[in-house]
Amino acid sequence: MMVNVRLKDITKVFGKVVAVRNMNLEIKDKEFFAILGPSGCGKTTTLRIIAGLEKPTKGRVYFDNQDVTNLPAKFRDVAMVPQFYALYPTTVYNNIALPLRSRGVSKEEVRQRVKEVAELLGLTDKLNLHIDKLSIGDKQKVSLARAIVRKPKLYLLDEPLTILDPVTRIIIRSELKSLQKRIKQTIIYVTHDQIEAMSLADRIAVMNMGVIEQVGTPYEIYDKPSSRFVGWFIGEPGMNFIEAEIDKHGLAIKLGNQEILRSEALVSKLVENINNDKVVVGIRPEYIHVEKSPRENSNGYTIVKGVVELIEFTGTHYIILVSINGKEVKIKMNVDEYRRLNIAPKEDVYLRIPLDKILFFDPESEKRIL
Amino acid sequence: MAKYFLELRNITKKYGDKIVLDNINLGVRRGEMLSLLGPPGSGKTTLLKIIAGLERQDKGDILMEGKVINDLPPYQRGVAMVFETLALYTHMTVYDNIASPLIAAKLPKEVMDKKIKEIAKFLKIEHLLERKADKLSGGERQRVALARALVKDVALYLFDEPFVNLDAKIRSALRTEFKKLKTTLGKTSIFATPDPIEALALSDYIAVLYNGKIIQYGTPIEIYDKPINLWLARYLTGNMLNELYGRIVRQDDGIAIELISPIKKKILVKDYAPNYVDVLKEKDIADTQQEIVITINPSKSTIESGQECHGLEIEADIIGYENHGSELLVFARINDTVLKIYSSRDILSRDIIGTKSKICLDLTKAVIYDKKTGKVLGDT
Repeated sequence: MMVNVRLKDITKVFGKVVAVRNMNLEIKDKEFFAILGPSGCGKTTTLRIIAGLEKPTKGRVYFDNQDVTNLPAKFRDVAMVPQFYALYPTTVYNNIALPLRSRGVSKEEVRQRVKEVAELLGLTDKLNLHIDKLSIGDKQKVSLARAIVRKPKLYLLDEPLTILDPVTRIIIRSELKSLQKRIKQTIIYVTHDQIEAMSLADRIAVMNMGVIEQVGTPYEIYDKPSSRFVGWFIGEPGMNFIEAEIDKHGLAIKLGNQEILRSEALVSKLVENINNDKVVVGIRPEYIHVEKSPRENSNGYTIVKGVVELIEFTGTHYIILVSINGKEVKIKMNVDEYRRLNIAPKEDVYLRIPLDKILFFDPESEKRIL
Repeated sequence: MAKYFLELRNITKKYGDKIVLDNINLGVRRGEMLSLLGPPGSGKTTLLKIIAGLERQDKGDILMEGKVINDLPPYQRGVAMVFETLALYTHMTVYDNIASPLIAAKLPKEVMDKKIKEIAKFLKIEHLLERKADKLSGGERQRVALARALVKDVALYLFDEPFVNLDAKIRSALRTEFKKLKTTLGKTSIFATPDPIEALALSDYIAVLYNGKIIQYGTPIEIYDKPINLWLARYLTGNMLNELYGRIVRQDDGIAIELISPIKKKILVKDYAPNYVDVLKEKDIADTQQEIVITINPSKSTIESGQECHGLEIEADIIGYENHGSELLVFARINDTVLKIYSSRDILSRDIIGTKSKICLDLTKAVIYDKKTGKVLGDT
């Protein structure tokens, strides 16, 4: 069974609030697709529109080119797995069998399908246990099993792992990913957790304020965010953004009196795209290297001088806040590197930044140019 | 001058039969940021309330600059307490919200104006001053609430989980602002949080509260590098610690660890964890074949790097990973134990998910606990 989901010009308004604005999205068959964004960005509304639980104010929903916009939820053949499981106080077997029995599937087939699904999820030896005897992780598996046993066209998961403890979450997450490869079906997964989306999904749609900011593979989104929002939202800490000046005569990008880089080609490209003499430079915190003395400006790098403002220890890393002519950047380094470096607040440092990791954003539209 | 700006001596508090705070002794120096780190119900809020004067201790003294202030009412203590719910007056502008505590203090208008603008500049909310509070985003609202708390000039700030219920992104941004505030304005403060990363990143010192007792006090690095017990070690890493189980045995060639789980192997302490030789050769540890838990942080472990392993090598099934963007946290299963290892993202190009790989655990970076009591070994 295949399904390809397409949203065309979808808008959803609740009273005065526009929850989803003019959304266009295509989710491919057999794809593990995540919709990621902060709370209130419209991701759950989008999922509910796909499920048929909400009707879009405007726009169409297609499953494999069939317009399902007006098709009620129960005819769409999708399974929705909620954030909190809703299970019946009976055995695991009965819980999984229930959706089949209510559809009038024969007893023999029910037994066969429950057995298959239990095997798939590692629940075989728990089938006769009462739900109350299960761990939270196993309960969420039963919840999944109940969705899978129906053999729906499409799975919609709304933050199904948030209630699990970190270790169980890791295991179930890994199992979910391999499960999807085995059942070979489309999964749409809604989450606010960037790590979850980055870890599970083939592609991610990043949403903000009812709008899709970017669709791409985890590393496309991480390496080449299409907007400041995406760069900030993905990664911890998020991408650094520094407003710099374009020196059209010197053909350089400058931060106050410091030249970040000089390139005729780059400056002309930027000038083509921005109606401004400023540009926002984006760089991820882990790509900046801190040095205590100014080394020769070696090929492929730029050196910028700054002052250490503060140092945060997070256990696995250090985050160093450095001010460059009054503008702040965060640098992420591992513990061994920090201890070797031995720096303190108020100290002058030299930041070595690889040129190929620098991105440029329009200061007005906040979209990435290069 | 007193050594501590604020000092707590033998503070004890009971609710009925339940001991909420058990003989707390703690000092905060002027300009210092101290975190009270502990799970819900450990006594953090009660302790803050006692310092603020909102609750009375059953036993013990509170000293400020060397003077006992047990009998001073809250408003005379020069303390501001910021609770977890940072509610704003939604119908008022940001400016008026920040001004509200100053109006109550009857400050002259010019002084007030200057203070508001200073703190607004500091928290980067100057452009929001004329906006109504209900038109703000979550992060902006939190900054405004913080500004309102900080505009009042007091000697000691008490923060009770001020970032709880916030998105992770906003939390970490505010954490940095907070730390700057401390470094720039030099305010003395106590910050209660259940979040280890927050405590590690923010504070000069951390006091770990557990069941009403301070179980460890030290700098973030002291605490992170050598947690006093297994519970704290797990808590600090969000249960991401790698744990090996075994027992100590004496051999002709030296003290050894007989590993029981997740692999069975005998290793010589002098070869794998030379820093522990002195601790483990203690008579009562080796002779009783004491059972131990060896803990290693995921960042002190590597995955088949092609380089020689100088630690303990374990072959395990790579079952998945967490993608943190800048790096991966890889999960490897062996005999029902899941090992966690930080790794660079290049590893994905080698297609190792679903394969068996060699994990190298650096035992020189391990911390070892007594399995029965959970206490760290070699703590003097």
